[in-house]
Amino acid sequence: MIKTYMLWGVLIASVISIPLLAQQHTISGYIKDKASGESLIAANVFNKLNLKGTTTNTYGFYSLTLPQDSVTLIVSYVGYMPVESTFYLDKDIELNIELASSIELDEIVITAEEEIQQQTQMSAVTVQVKQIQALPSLMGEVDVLKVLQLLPGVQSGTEGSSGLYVRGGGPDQNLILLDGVPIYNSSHLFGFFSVFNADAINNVDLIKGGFPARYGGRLSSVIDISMKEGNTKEFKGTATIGLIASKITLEGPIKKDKTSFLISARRTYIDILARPLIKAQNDGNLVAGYYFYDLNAKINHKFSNKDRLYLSGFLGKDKAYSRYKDSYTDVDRTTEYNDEFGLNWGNAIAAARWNHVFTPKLFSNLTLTYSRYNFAVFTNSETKTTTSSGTDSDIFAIEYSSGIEDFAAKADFDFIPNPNHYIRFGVNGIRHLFNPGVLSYQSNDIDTVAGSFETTAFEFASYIEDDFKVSEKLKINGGVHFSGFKVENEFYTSVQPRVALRYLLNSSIAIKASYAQMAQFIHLLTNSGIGLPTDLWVPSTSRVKPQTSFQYALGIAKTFNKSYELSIEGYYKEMDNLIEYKDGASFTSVNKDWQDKIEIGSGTSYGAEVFLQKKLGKLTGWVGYTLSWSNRQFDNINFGKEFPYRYDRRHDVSITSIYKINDRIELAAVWVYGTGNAVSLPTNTYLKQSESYDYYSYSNSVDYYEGRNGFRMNAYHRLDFNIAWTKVKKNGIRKFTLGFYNMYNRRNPFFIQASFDYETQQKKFVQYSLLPIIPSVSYRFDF
Amino acid sequence: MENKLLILLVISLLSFGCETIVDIEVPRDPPSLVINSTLSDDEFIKVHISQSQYILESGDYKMITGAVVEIFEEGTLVETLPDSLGGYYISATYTPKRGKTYSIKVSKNGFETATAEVLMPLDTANILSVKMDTVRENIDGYVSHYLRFSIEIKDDKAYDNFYDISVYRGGYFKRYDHSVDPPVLIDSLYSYQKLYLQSRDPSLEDFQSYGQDILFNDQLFNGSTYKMNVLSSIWIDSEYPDENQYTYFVMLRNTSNSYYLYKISSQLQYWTEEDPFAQPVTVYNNIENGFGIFGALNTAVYKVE
Repeated sequence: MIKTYMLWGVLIASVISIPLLAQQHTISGYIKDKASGESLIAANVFNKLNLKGTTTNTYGFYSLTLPQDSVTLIVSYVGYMPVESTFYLDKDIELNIELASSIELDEIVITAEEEIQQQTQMSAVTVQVKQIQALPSLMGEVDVLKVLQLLPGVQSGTEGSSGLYVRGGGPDQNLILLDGVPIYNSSHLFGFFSVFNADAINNVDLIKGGFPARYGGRLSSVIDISMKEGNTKEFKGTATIGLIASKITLEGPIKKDKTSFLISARRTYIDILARPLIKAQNDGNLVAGYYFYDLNAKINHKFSNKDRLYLSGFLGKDKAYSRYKDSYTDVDRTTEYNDEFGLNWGNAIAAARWNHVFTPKLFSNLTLTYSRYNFAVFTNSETKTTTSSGTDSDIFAIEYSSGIEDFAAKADFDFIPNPNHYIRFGVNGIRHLFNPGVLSYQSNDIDTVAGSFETTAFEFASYIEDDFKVSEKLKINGGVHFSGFKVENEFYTSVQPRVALRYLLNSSIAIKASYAQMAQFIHLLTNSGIGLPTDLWVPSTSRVKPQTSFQYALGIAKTFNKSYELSIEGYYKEMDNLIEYKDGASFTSVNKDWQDKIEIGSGTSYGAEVFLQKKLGKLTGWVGYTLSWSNRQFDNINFGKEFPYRYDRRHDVSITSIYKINDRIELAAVWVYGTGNAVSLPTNTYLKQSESYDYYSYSNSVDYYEGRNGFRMNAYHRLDFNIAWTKVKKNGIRKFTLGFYNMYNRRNPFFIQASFDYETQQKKFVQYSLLPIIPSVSYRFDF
Repeated sequence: MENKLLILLVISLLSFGCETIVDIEVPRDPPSLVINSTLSDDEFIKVHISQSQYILESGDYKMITGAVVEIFEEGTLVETLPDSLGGYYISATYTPKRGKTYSIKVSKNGFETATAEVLMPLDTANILSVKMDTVRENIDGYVSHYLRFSIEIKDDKAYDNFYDISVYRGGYFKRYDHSVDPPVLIDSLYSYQKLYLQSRDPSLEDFQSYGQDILFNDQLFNGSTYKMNVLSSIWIDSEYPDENQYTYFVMLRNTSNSYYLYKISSQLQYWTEEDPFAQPVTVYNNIENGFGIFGALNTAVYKVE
């Protein structure tokens, strides 16, 4: 606690010592896109005359307090024409600015956002939605999380999956926020696609380390995704037809410049196309299929320049199903069968946010949220037998369900007293309801329920941070995050100091360093680590303590020729109280409390990352390289010895490029390379105990594993390519995209098994590959 | 269920993909002795000794002959087992006793000496009743007739018990000469057949629910009475015309923890070996300087009337 008081003391003292030599006034307002009215997040607002500036927050709000004097304000944002305004500042003024999108980026040299070397924040990347949409994707489905996998420090897990492993952390350690609401399962189709529809998204921020104090609750990353607000100027729409899914987005003003809406929907349709084929093959007795859909909706209303209200919601669901009906008559007996199987999971979230500007220097946001994730699998079977003496019915039903539900409230404040301080503080509280797996079983004479009980827990946090410009060269973001968790009779608290600093060596290069402690009160039980719907969220308990971590990072950041950004960072991270299923334990074993099925251990991760990005010009993209180590240690796994994490990847390279030949044709390519995943392979085999040893087969032998993840699969690499043709039509713009995933058809390892080769009569290791070259087409129309 | 769907999805995707033989350097350790033995209070001690082999080595496992196999009761040597060929070492006189601790020491030139220890379970497995009837069930989409055995067990609260249920049927099994048409009956011999079982008991995981032995522990019903239902498919053909001619025996074994862990983990390893997402299962091993199992059990047999 002493550390906490000291930090508060430093912050308060630094704010009190604000220079009061000259009379000061505040310029504040919102920066928006001129065509759509969308907020521009992290736009740069800069007084050319005294070199003081600021950036807009998540809602496009900025506040810049300057001495009474002449001001030449430049407002800029990447991809937009900058606006320059000169005036004499002699009172507080409200200045809302709209920027026009620039089409010919290559001919414009502008100061975009705050340059990387100016920012205190390190280990963070903002990915432009336009880039996400332009890059090649699996089966043509634009995927936000798969683009994040291309950034240094982020590993992709298994082939094709959208899971994220950030700086050696697990998939549960990512705080994935959609409009400020946590998403608990971000996958469709067993991890092959993420739930985020890029058409409905405005901005994506990834933070891997040096976490500001305003974020908490997860150890490894923050992925902050903002939905579009909806066009406040005119009605617009986008429709896309793809290989596996189609989507439509509509947005527009309900009342111009006051109220707007956005609604976006996506659905796969393989099930609809395949239904007649399945029916035809089974005489109409079988109906089976799989689909997923998601729906984003948002309304925002501007009550005044001081008050805005945002209502947003997301609903996503995956469903696999089969129904089988049959009957036969045998002499005087008729038997009817009705079987049904279903598997479904999905997220539902809702958020209400109220922005209020108390003073030009104090901005607030009050948020109420709801988030739910449910998984259910069921099978029902009924056999009816009708004879002359009556009808007998045999029923059998089994259902397993699990999930998590949150209600949360938070209040966040931005206080910008002068250009040297940007103070954020706030509080939040979450009520979690965990349902860690219930199995119900029903037959003619049994009706029983087994599994773990629902658990309610309360989580709360408060924070304060200041982005403090100590001098022209030195800037510090210091803060503290205090959080607590109440579950059953257990009460955990955690004080997490955070500090990040940047020191400018000259105007284009800076050294950065950060330290962050994190705590996570909820855990994910996962068998596969690829984001399966069966992954189970569970709370910390008296036996399972909260996960904790600390991370140091050191790096340099540089901007070249205004359009190239380079960052080189090293990091070291330790994690404690990580959980894993015991060997062979799985989500369906409901005869045990989940706490009996797990092992508790720790992890370390360290490495270096290089990120070179080109944001402007005809050619944009980035090169990322990661050198890393990630290990785990559990007392009862691998004989207590440390072992490589499944996604420990020594070298990871990604090169992305988007080349705009002209206004009509755009090319994009991605090449990735990664050291092979760690894998456990047997070294010896021996006879299993049997009633007879006369007959040998694989089924009566035992494989012996010396240790976990002791071997490596072959390296992973892949090239994806896209070409898009855009044409302005009478009613809008059409875009036709042809893409190739895994263009040179690399046989990447998915898993390896020892198998018997009948040709050579030898045992061999056989590598199985998953995704070959996959072409895709999509057609998009903006109207 | 979900796992099956997932595996189905992976298989269908793999059909677009492919398989490649790869060279991976796996270190070759010298072979170790493999001891497989389960002591039973109604049998003479029987031990099987073989040697482990390198994972990529093909061919049959090698049985060990000429080893010195010593059995100790409470630390005192009670017998050096004679070599009975085929890797077996079988006592002609000695039956283990409940509640005693037994150890084994196996020595053979060229191998490290392997040892193990086990406590013979003290408690006797107790079947209160067995009811048998015929049911029609839809299991995984297949509707079939099954014999259902409802086995009522009384558990002893004083111990952590580990159980193994199996069902045998005894009867005259006919052998036919199929080289002629119609087939000619050769003989009719009385023998016992161990049935394949399945159970939907909610305490069992999928991999425990099928096979000739259903293994479970008393964690859910310690000290009370528990009813375990097991099903066995009825095969109706000309060679087995009448189910009623058979006599059914339910065998309930009360096993050592080591036997239970070995059986469960080896079943699980077999069950998950086709699952690319499962972490490989380490099979329980209580042999020092070797592999295998030195387990123990006692048996109760119930004849189904």
